[in-house]
Amino acid sequence: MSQTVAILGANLCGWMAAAALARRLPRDRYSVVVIDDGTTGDGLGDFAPVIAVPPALGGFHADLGIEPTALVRATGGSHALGVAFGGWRKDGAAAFLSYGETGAPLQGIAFHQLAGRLRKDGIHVRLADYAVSAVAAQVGRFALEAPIAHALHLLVDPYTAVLRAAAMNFGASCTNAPFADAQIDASGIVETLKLADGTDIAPLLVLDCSGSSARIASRTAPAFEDWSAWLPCDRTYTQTLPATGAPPPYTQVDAQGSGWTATWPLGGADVRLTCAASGEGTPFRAGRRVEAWRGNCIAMGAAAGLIEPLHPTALTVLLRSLAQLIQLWPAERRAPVEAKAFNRFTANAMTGARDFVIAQKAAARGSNAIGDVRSEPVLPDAIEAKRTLFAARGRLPMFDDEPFEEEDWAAMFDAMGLVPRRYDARADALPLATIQQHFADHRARIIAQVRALPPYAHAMAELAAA
Amino acid sequence: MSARIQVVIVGGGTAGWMTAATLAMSFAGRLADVTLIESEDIGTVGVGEATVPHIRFFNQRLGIDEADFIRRTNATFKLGIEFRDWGRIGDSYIHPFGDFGHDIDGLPFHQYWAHAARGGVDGLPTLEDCSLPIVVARDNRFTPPLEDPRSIGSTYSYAYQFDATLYAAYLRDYAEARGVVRIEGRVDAVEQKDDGIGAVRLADGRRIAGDLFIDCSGFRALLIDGALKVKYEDWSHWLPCDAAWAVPTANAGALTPYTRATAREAGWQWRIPLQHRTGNGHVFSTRFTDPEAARAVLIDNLEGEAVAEPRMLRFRTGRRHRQWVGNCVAIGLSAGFLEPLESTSIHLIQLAIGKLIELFPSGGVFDPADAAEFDRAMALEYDRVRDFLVLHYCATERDDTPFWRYMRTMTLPSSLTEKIAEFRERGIVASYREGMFLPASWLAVYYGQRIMPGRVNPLIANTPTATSRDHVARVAAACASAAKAMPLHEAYIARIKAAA
Repeated sequence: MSQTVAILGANLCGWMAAAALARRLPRDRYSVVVIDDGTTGDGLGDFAPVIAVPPALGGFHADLGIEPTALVRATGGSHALGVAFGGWRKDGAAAFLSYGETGAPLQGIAFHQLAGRLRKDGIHVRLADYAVSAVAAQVGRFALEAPIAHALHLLVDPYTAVLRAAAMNFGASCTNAPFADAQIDASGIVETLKLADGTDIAPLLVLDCSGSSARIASRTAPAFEDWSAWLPCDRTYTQTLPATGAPPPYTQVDAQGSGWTATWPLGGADVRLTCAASGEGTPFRAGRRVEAWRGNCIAMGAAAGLIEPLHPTALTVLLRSLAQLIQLWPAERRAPVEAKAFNRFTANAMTGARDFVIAQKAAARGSNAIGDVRSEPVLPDAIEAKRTLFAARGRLPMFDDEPFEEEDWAAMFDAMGLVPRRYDARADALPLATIQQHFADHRARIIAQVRALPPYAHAMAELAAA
Repeated sequence: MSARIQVVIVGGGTAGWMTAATLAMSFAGRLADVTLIESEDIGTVGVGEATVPHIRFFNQRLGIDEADFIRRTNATFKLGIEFRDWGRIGDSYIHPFGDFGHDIDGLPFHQYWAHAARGGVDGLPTLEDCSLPIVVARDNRFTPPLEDPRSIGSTYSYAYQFDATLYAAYLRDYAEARGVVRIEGRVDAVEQKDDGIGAVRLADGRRIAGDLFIDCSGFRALLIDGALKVKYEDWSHWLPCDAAWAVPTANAGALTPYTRATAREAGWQWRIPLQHRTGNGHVFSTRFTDPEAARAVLIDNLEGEAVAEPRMLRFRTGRRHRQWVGNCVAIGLSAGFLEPLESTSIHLIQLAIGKLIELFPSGGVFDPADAAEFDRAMALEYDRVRDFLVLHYCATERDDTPFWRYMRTMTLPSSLTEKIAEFRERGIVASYREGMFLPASWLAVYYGQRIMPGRVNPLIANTPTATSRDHVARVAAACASAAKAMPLHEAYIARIKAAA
């Protein structure tokens, strides 16, 4: 007998979940059914008509048979080699965080530690000059499917359609009528989902992908951890501006009052998202559901938690949560052991994603007046531990299930102008000239690699022509 | 160039010389001058003749040639640890340095095995048959793993069993050749200053000043305890063994590429085969047996002839609350003690050294952030090793002695209770970012000590058991055929020695 896995939300989050599950669940035992929740959002916070898709989703797309160039073409998208941060630093310097690697270690010593050694001797080092993605972005070069880590800027609606087609290809379906109501028993088990046409569905599991409203999870697991003390931005608005010429192959994020404005360039238009702590815009609340999985309802996407989209972590966390769900797939509606393990993971992952944003803003505030004018909140311990140790010597304590790696943290703090007081002592044991040579060699390799790339406009033309 | 730091290591032995060798290699006389004080009158404990695979990376970083090291430390190879009589008297399993099978459709192999076992274990290969290092070890064979990740020959790692005294001597040569100054002497007094330790005074009146002091003085913990009075967190309620008799014997029988730990009435007995002799010991709890009885247990259970008088050590399991205070860093037994059931002593030394190098106080700056990170990281390692060791004691059906009755009913650390419950119910093995034991290690002990998952992933459970049996049979056949092609452990070592 087939069991129904109901996904509430016929949006980007819902169809991504449907595709991931339909790909993995045997069709003869499970039917994956997507139900329209009656809203028009993307299930991931509804921030903008464009979404940045991080490199981590490459494998997921490949597994579904979605070819990257075809995806960008079908979704009117573009490529992003990284994010340029304007106005974040006190010294006015622009900062660039690339999606790829920065530099290379030497004799086991991290690149940014070697940079610390050079800086001590007054040598100016900008880490981004040693990241191929950053250099390519700076000169506007990129080739389709170049082996350089990059994100994609995709229009939400056509991207959703691509995932919907993939999900259906693997056997997922969509109900004819939208969601009307849920029957939830006293112990929090969703017994029946009622649709507008009177149909009843008795699900094994419900994935609540209905966005911040969390139409079912808000009833089964209402407890919500509020993060607004650290992330005071609570509204966003978007503008779409016409743009001529080839778009730059990166995202631009400019500090703006108490928040920031991101520009996602697409062919022919720039989409701007402004995130602020007051003023006009659509409100949102930063935080997470304390129990993403409770009873037989699992909140995913914005229903599980929300962070301002400074970095594209929502999709990363969603994808990892779906992988966890497969590992912890329940046999019955009641699966408290599985739920507990899942909730531990999502709490760690979402908190890790949150901490990166809080830390970046705090680091920028440290060198600038960006951020809110209210008194600085006490930072969560994990961030304080990272900031303190990085400031002391450029190292970072790392915690379970964090979505960012140590190199990401180091690059971010460095980009925000936080300069460690000291560096790895082993760098002093190497001759200065050896380190300088290492830097020069790396830089030369990057320049050669970037020279071989065509202007990004060519890639976009190729995309349009096919 | 920053001022050179004067590093004073108090205590030789494994911890002291491992630290000295690494500092010498890393800072090569440019940043630090290293002095090591040891006394020939004070014996070293030399516990931890068996190691875990990370030791190879330690040696590689020093640039040590493996064959030379094998010859000079009388080392043998180690693919895992055999545990006898732990879950039940008569049981035997090996905790291997390697995997059990491989993931299938992204789901862990052990769950396929557990599923297949539901269809009956008759004719089903054991989970051990699906681990190449176990199959190889049981056959007393050895060859290093292959590099090709697609080959089953790449699915394991290995460590060494060596003479810790010879290893310390080997590292002493290495360190002294790179400028470490050894001082023969006994530390008599410690001079403190505001932010830590200023100097140590030797029995002959010499005064050795320094910037950074490393306490490698073993259980005596001369600096971290004697001078700085850092408290010790006692774990003897979870790990009540507090003494051990140790005795070397002549080799008897085939040279096993694994260490053995046999559960006894009030503790356990180790057997560590080296090229020239076998190290033996009986770890026991004085709360449950007296030293004379424990000595008799050891003597009665030796395979080869004893070549020395047994000697007894006393210890207390636990860890120092802080392991880096001011300008003093505790490494080795001064920092904490966990019984050598999983050969973790040398590994914990290695981890501490690695952290010290990463956080080395360049220019003599002692930043509290460095000490805090060292303490955080080491505490986490000790805590996670502790949980793993406690698992061996609590996952048992034994109730034949008061010791085992205590062990199986004691209150566990809550972190462990949760882990066991998740495995017992659903076969979940959480992996963590830091902490030395990977999921395969936990699996080995769970299954080896009769904790079976109550249910497995329904995506496996819903398939016919015959499919899972096929997966298991395929992996077991591949392990068996790969193992057969390998030389005997003894022959492999003979070849290394002959090449000298």
